[in-house]
Amino acid sequence: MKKPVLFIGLNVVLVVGLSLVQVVAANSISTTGIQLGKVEQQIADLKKQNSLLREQVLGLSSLNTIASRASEMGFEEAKSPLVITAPLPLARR
Amino acid sequence: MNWRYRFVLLGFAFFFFIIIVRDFYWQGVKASQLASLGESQYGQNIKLTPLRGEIRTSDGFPIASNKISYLVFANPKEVKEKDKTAALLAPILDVDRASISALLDLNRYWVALKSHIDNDTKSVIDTLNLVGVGFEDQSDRFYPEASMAAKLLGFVGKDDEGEDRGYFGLEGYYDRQLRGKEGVATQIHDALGRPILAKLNDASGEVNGRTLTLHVDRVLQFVLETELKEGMDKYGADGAMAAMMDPKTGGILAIASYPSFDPRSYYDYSNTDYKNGFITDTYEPGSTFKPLVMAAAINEGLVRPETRCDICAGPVSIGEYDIRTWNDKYQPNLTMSDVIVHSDNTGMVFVSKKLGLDRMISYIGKYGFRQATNIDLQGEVVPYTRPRKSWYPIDLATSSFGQGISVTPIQLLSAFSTLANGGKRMEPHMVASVTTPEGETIPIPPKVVNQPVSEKTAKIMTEILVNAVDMGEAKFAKPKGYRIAGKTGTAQIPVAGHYDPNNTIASFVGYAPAEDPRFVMLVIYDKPSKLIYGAETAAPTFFKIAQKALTYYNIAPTEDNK
Repeated sequence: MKKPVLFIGLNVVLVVGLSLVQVVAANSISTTGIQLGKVEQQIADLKKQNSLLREQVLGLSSLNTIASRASEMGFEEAKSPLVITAPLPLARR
Repeated sequence: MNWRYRFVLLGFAFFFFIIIVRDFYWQGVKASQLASLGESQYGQNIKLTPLRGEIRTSDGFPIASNKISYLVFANPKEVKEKDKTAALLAPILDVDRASISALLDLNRYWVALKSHIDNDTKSVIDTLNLVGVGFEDQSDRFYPEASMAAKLLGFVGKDDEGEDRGYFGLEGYYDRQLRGKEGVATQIHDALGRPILAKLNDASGEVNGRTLTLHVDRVLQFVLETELKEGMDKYGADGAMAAMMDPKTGGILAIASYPSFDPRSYYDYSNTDYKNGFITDTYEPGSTFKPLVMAAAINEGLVRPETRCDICAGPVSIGEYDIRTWNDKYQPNLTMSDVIVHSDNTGMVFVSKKLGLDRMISYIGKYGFRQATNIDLQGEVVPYTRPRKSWYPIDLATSSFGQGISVTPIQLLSAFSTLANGGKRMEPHMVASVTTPEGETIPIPPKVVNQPVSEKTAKIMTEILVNAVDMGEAKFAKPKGYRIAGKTGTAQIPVAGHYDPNNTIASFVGYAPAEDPRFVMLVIYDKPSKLIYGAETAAPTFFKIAQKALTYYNIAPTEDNK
């Protein structure tokens, strides 16, 4: 008669133990979905910000913008570029 | 009992067989149909639009890219103060207030108020904190250099099914590469049809478009456009076009055509504004054709630079026609070099007689005037070329100085580049490489089409053309110290069987530096009204652009006082 009681008792302990483990595990990972969602949202927001900033950078670095800003700042086109050339040596040792 | 037992067994066996067959039918044959039916009960398929590929200049700068835009939508069942919401949104969205009110009165969960609004407009709406109004991300084509290279790029519009599609230029020619592959995801919704923010399937086959990297140099494109626009206004021309090409690779370094359009608001322009005249317009090239005919005759050993013209003392009669020089001045015994320098029509008739009709037709073909250049832009046309039997002696004579023959500017540029590239003709090309979304770059190698003239002929012709620039009508505008080979052209415009007495097409074609050309360029003004000759209009523009291009390439002058 002792053996079935021991067997049943072990089973109950095992079931209760595993249930507790499951509760603890489920509890610990239950918020990761929310965290994952937040991270995904952050990634999406950063990508959007990156895209908007890239748009601004491209607009500001366009030649049309640079030319008009340069003109506003008083820069003028160089009419006759100065070229400095060294005479070729007649002979080299 | 035995037969009863067998009967029941067979009955059960048959019954299970029927079940298995039926099960196979539902699970196998009808599986996909049932799956989609099930999905449709709790979700709906939504299209995932791929990101369109960028178009970049040779320095990697995107001249056509994408930017985030938004679709403003509302849930009419959630919007409490509909009149107030409509009144607030109407001026911001630039939409009629009554239209917004009508949409908000609909018995729906979702109505689109306006698509493709920019981030600034979204920010303004955000500050209003309107209940029941939301945004959906979209993508718009973005042109950081505004309308620069508009005719080269083309634009992205909508096709018959409302999908984005590229038209004209590179957007049209490379549309399939740029647009990528559409994907599908399933949007889950609740029992009332309201969307739940989850997707069943993200891995849906969506492939972003490929990115094109051009031969086009952004600085040269900017310079060419600036000078061309300035020249068009200065000379009162109806239109202007120009292109620069690397004669060694056929890569187009810059190309422009005016009047143009703004790809951001393409719908405000007419169809004619979209066409790139450099590949779609045909014209009679006039004197810019002379060097090609002369090169053909030199290549055949029929004339040499010092050969003298023995029919140049006066007008040359061909049948009932008299061929005259442009200024009606005649110089007997001109050398072939002088024929090009003075752009003498009678001298070219002398050359054409030496060349003969068959050789003339053959070289027209070799230079590529009988077929498309195969430039990778949408809309290239091939001008009509008359068959052999329709050539008369007068046609042979006039075609030698570029009249009575139609070409497109890209054909002439391609043909002229043979003289700058040791006699080899390259296929003109816009795109240098294609980059896949995975980052693999596929280069497009230069393609030699043929070799119309020998390297020796090309060198001889280059010297003649350098002489033509140094001694010709346009020498005043030439950048000092550089050896530039080129030729002016002032062509008459055929109108209803005769030539327009008042208007011309003024052009200049050339390359620099003559000894090792970095670019070959053609500049054309259509009907300039203030000055009509190529030497007075197109040539100065050519030289201005050439000066800047040579400086940009860090090429120093090689001669002191020329």
